[in-house]
Amino acid sequence: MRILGFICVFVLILSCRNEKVDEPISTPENQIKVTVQPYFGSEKLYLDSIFSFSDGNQIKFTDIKFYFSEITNENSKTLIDAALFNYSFSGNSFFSKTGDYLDFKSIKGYLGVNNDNHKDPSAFPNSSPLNIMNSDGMHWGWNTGYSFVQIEARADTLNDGIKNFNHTIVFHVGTDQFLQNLNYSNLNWQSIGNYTYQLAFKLDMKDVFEISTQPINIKTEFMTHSSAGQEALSLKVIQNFKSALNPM
Amino acid sequence: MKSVFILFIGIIIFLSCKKEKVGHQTTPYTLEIPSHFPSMIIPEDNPMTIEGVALGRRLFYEKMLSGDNSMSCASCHSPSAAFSDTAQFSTGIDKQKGTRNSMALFNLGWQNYFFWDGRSATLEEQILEPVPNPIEMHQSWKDAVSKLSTDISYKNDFFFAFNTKEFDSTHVSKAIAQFLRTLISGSSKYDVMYKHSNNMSLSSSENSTLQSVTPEEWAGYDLFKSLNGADCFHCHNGPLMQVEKFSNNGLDQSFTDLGRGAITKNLNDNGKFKVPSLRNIALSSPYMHDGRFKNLDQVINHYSNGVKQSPTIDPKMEFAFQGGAQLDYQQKSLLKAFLMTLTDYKFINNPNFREP
Repeated sequence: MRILGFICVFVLILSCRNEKVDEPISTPENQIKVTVQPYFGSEKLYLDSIFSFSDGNQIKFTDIKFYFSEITNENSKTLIDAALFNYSFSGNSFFSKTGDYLDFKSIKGYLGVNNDNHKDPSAFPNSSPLNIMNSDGMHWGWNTGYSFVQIEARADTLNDGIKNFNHTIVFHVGTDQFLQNLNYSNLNWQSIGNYTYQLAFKLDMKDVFEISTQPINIKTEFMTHSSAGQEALSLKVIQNFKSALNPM
Repeated sequence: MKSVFILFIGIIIFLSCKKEKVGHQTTPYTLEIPSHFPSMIIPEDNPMTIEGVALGRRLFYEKMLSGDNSMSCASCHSPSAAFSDTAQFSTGIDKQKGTRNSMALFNLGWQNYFFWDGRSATLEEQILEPVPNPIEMHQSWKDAVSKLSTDISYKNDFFFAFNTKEFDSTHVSKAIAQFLRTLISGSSKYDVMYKHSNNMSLSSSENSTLQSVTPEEWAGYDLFKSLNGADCFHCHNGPLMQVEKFSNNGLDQSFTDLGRGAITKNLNDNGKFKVPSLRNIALSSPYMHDGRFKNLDQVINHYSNGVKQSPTIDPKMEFAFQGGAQLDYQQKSLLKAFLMTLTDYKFINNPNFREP
């Protein structure tokens, strides 16, 4: 009888199964999200939509892309190595990452690509916007390095009431000489829930063309690839672009 | 007492028994990625295995996948034509023709869209289309799988590749996708020129290839990249010789085939098609989505003076306002000489890609 009891206890022990115990829930990490919303003056800009300049010329943007790289706070704490804004591909999303927005009340970096500009574009990690697979034509074979800003559009400059958008605008600005510093302070991070804080930039494309200090005349200034002889327009485009990009 | 003890031992043995999972361990396949290429992202649900690649290769050449056992994938994607079709439009088992030229197959592991209109987002998804398509292989997947299942060697191959005794179309597409991801083309003369131009180190054999590059080929490369020359690099550059996007390259003023627009239903995408790689271009005639150009001379003539304006033309077609880049005879000849450097003979003649 004692043996039978012993067997029962033994069977019970062997029958015991490890129950899965849920891990205690840890506090989620803060997330940072940065967006860029293109505008044309006060209107939200959508690709392939028609917008009018003050002189009556009309424009349809087909592509807006730029690199913002080596983004750090004032103490050189890195926010992100590089980010590619690609409006046609990603909409107004710029980048997201884990981090505390309180560390980045001020940020600085480059409009374009600085230290990484001439590295092998295939050697960057798959997740990097500088990897040639993610660069979406922003890496140049003809002048090894990255294009910093690309704006492509078609315009109607005849003002004759007939919509004929056959005037091509291509601004591809790159090469080291056109790299621009970006500095933003007193940033207004907004909580959007789920431990996520968002910083929103406004990019006013009307300003890129109509800024009072150095407006661009699309009838005569409609193409640059930053090559020799195109320095003046290249500089104008990237300086205007820099002025047009501001935190909201 | 003795019987109780035996019972006790028996219970312990019974309870100690664990079900062992019996199956086949697959062998990881290591892709040979050229040093100047980005790494390839492999889907988590379809890792590369030696067994999967071997099965995929067999299936790529398998005619049982067509309704009358007359066509395989290779029928429209011939290795000697860089895995494309030399016919303008491929002919299906019912003698019907499609409306687009078969695309060349290589470096597919770096693509994010498949078909000329990009309607498939993955290779595995793309592979599922041609078998049931009535103008192509015209056979239901159920019938295709049923036919394969009658072959004991296929049953074994699927078991070894996917550890399953009951395979279906998803296993077929996964296996073929694995094989297609091995079709890597990165050993042409152009690759050496690209690496040299980007200050990348060259092997001794690459150095000898570099010495064989003619002045005409270098001049053609310069012209290819020149903003005021042929201006090809905007859409065709980098190690893959393409920028993956959809573009209207000025073929027509109005569109009989809406291309990407038919998929997105966005008028601004009408007339746009996937920009293909120019690798192995000399082998993959005819050209364009509808195979309208029979040879490279016709292609060069199009970009030189045949470009037509339309509402969705790519702004990167910068010379569209004058009908094209206006190349002279000598420039056309140099450009063609460069395009020939994109032929990758090592790729074309790789025995691992041929019918097993």
